Amino acid sequence: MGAGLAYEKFLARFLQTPLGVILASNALDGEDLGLHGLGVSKEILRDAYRAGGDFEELRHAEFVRLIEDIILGRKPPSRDYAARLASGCHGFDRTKTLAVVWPFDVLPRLASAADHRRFSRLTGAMRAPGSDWLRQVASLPAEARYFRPAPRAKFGQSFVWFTSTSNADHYVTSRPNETSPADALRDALGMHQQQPATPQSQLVVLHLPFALLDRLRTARPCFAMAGSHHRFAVRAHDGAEGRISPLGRAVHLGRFADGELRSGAPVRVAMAFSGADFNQDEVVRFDVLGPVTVARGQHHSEDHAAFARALRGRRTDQQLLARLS
Amino acid sequence: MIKPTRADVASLASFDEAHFARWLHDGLNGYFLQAGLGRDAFPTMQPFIGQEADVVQDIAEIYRLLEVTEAGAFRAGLAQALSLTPLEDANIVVIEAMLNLASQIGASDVLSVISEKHRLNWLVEKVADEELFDATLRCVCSLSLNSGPNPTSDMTYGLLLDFIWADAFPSEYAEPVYVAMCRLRPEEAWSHLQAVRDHLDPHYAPLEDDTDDPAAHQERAKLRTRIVDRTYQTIARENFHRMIDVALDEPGNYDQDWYLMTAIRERRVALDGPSPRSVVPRTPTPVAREESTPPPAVDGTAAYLAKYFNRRPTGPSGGDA
Repeated sequence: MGAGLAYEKFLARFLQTPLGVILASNALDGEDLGLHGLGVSKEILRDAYRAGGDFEELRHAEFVRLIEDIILGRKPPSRDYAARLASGCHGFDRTKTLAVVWPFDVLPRLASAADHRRFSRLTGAMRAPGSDWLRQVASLPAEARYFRPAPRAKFGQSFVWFTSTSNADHYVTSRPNETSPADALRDALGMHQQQPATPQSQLVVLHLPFALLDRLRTARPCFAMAGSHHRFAVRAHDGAEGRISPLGRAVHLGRFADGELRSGAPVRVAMAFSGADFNQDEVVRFDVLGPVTVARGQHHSEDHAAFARALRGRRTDQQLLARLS
Repeated sequence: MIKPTRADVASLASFDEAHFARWLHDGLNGYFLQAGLGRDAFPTMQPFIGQEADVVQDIAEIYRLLEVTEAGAFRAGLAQALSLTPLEDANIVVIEAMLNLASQIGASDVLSVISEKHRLNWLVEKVADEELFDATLRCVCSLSLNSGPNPTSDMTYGLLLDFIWADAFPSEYAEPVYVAMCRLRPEEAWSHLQAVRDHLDPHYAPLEDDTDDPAAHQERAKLRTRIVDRTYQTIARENFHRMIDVALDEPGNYDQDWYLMTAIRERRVALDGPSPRSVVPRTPTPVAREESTPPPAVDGTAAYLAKYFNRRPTGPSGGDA
C-alpha cells in the first residue's frame, strides 16, 4: 500500500474516534475563522503521521502527541509552525497576572529550596504525604503564599494553558454556594481530566507575572493543542461567534453537563517554560483551591463522544475527511 | 490530555525489578539529558509522557495503574535506577526527579540506596546544591512520615540524624525533622529533641526580657506551643508523659527549659481533663496508637507539677532533693 493511501486510511479511522472529531472540528473552525492559514492543519496532520514512522502501528493517542511534537519542533520536519500559530496577546490587561491551574502536587517541585525553608519556618511542617503540609500551606496568609521558582523547575512539558487572574477570580467569586472553588475553576477551564478522589484532585492556582509572556512563545489555542486539552472549542460559544480574539475559550464543563455547549474562561497557551525564564525579582503567588468534588465527563451525555458530536455540528465524516486529507 | 488506562500499561506487566530499573534509568536520563529525545525516552509509554505538568507526575500516573506485584517491582526498580545513576553534577536533575518520584509513590526502597555512605556523603556534603539537599531530605522525611515505625525505621532514623549533623542542614527544617523522628521512635522524643536543640533554640527560646519587641515574643511563644502540640499529636499522651519524665530525671535547669515549661503549661488542659479549652483545635485528640494502650489516670495540673517540682529543688544544680 502506498504511503499516501495508508495515510488516508489512517485518517479516516482517526476521524471516526471522538478525539479525531474534536481535533478535526477545531481545525476546520480555525481555518474558517482565519486563525491559521488554509491548509496548515492538513500539512501538520500529514507531517505528524510521517513522524510516526511505524505507520501500521501508530496509535491515535500517539498521533495526537506527534502533532504537538511537530508544532514544538521536537520532530522533523521543522517548519516553524509555532511561529505560524503564534499571535499577540493584546487581549490581556498587562497590569494583571496570569493564572495557571494545576494539581497541588506540582507546587513543591516548582518552589525553590529557599521558599521550602520559609514555608517550613512558617508552618513547622515539611512537604510529605500525611504531614498535613497542604493544609498548612493553604492556610498561610496571602502575603506569605508565594515562591520563587527553583532554577531547574519545569513549568509544563508541552503547552501551559492559562487565563488571567481576574478571570480566575471571577469564576471563583461568582460561583454558586454549593460549588467548591476547585470545581468552579476546573469547570470554567474545561479541565475534565481533573476528577474527584484521584491523588491529584487538590488544585492550586498559580499567579504568574504578566511580563513573563514577553519572554515566552504564546498562542491562541488551536486544534493542534488537542493532545493537552480536549475540552476547548476554537469557535466561541457565548454569543461572540466569529470575533477574532487572541484568547480562545475553554468549554464550560458544568454547562455542558447541563446539555449546553457554552464557552468557559478565556484561555491562551504558552510553550513549556522553566524557572530560568523568570527574572530575579519575579515571584509566583498561589491560592490553594482545594479538592475537586464533582465528576465531569463520566456520563454518556457529557463524555468525549457527546462533546465530539456537539462540536462537529452538521459536518459529516466525509466532509471532515475531505477537507483534511 | 490523554490519560493512560490499565490496558495502556499492559506492556509493563511483564517487567521485573531489573526491567523497571533500566526503563526508569534510561528514561529519566534520556528525558533530561539527551537533547531531542524527550518522551521517546520511555519506550511503549511515550504517548503518556509529557501530559502532566511535569514528568514525575506522568510516571506516577502510570505507576498507579500497576497491579500490586508490578508496583512492588517498580518501586524496587526505582531504587536500583537511583543506584545506577553516577554521582555527577550533570545528573543532579535526574537524581532529583528520582527522589521526587520516590517521595510521591512512597518508594521506601530508595532509603537503602540513599544511605550508602559514598552516596549520602555526596548528597549532603559534597554538592553545594541546596535544591538537591532539600529534595533528598524531603524524600527521606516524606517516606518516614508516610509509614511510621516499620522495618526501614532504623535506616530512616539514621538518615535523619545524618542530615541534622550535616553542615548544610537548615534550621528551618529542625521542627519537621524532629516530628519525623518522633513518628519513627515515639518513645524517645526527648532525645530527638536534644538532637535538634542547637537548631531550635535560636528561634524558639524566649527572648531576653530587655528585648522591646512584643511581636517577636508572641511569635516565639506560638512556635513553642506549636512544636509541643505537634509532639503530643505525634507521639500520643503516654509517650508524651514519658518524655517529660525522662527530661525531668536529667540533671539541669528544667525550669529554664522553654520546651519543658511550654509542655507543662500547654498540656495542662489534657491533664486536667475536659474543659472548654480542651475542645479547641490547638489541643487535638491524640493519635490512634493511644487506643491500644489504656489511658493513664487523669492528673490535675497541680498534682502533675507537684509530682515533679516538689520532687526536685528548682535551681541551677538540679538533681533529686
